[in-house]
Amino acid sequence: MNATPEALQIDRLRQEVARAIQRNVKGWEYLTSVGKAGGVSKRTLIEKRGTMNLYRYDALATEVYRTPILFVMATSNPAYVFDLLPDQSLIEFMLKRGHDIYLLDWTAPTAGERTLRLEDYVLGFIPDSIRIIQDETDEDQVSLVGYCMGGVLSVIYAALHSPGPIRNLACFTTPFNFSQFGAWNQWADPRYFDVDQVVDTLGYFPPEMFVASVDMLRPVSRVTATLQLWDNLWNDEFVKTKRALDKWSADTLPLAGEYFRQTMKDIVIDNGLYHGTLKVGGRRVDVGEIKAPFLHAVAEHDHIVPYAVARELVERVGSTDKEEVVLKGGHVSLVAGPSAIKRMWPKLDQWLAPRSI
Amino acid sequence: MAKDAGDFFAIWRSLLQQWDTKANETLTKVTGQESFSREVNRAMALNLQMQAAFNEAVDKALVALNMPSRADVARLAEQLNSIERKLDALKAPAPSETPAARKAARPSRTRKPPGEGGSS
Repeated sequence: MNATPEALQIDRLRQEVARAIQRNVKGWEYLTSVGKAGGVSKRTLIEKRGTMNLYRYDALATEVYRTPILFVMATSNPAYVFDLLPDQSLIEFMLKRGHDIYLLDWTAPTAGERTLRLEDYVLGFIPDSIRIIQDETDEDQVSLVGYCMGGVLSVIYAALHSPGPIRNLACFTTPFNFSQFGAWNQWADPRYFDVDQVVDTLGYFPPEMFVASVDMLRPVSRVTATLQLWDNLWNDEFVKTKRALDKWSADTLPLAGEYFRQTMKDIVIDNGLYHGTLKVGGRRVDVGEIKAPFLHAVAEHDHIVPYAVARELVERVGSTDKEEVVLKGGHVSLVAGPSAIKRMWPKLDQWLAPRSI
Repeated sequence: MAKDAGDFFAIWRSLLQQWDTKANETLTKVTGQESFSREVNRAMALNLQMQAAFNEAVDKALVALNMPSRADVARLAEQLNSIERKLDALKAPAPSETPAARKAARPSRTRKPPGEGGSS
């Protein structure tokens, strides 16, 4: 039986009135509580060295794939975006699918770590973590999964250690051609932005500056997001995810001064990773040296790492088994939230599983 | 959109989305200009200069008062961390935490993908 347009309108109005009441009730709950986020899966810290934290996750399957996976988080944010909430955790999903997971996470660098350089991450933290995993698992090879700047570090590591112990390399929204950043290139123009002054004065790159620059990419989106939150206050799932992601975004980390200076000068301004002129530990980084199977998952609506910045990475790596997938979503919704659960997580599992035996 | 015709709430949501897109486009045209970058960075440079001068003055005052600076406290914290790490390394692991026990407790590494004889 087809309802008349009038009956549909009345139904719609009734639904909106019910939602308006729920908004008032839940709005009060929202204002009088704090958001919860991060670290739902059981894990053990197996190595801590200043800013570096290596975790091992407890298996959730009785039988796991042979090759362990090391997730490498971006240095700008904590890794709990991978393990956000129960049933909204990429780590939990991968554990249930039978993968053996390790995570390289970062905390704010200490004052003594302001001199950390790219070399410390790429020739120190990552290879040391891999050695620990090799020793723990008795496996020679490890798969690397890097997110954003974690992807850049993983790519540099893989290029400098080829063929090395890398079984597979998967990257999410990893920038490569830094000349295509648009507004960020303008703001980081060395004629106006003095990276030396920032690092020499502060010793680190403050998270507030990073968050402000991300906000300036979409200046009104915080207002829109607040209105959308009010509109969806009746929806518990929406509110839970939004609060968790907001908390994660507010937990942005400072960056070690020398690491930031080197990244800005050699990778962003000189575009050295793209041009093949970047040197780390005195060695030139050529992504063509990467031979391990390679997956790059990029987001269609990523305003932080636009597609033009990420696009050429898959063309330039030397792997014969390589793939790029462009998925619906933005920079964060690619890895966390309802869109990621439907799209990126199953893709990562399906890509890694046959390559992990 | 046709099915939303006459639905005030759907129209409001659509307008909000359009406003977000248009307002962001308009404002990023301003923030993406060279003059914006020049002025913002000039303001930041001035702020950093003031901060550097203030830091220097505070450091001198602390020396005059014979009090430790933030850098001194950070160095001490670093040394304490280093001692803690050494103490941790000296501690014998619990029987369940030895490398052999941990390896024995982990699941076998024989899983196959669903299409190749493994379970989903």
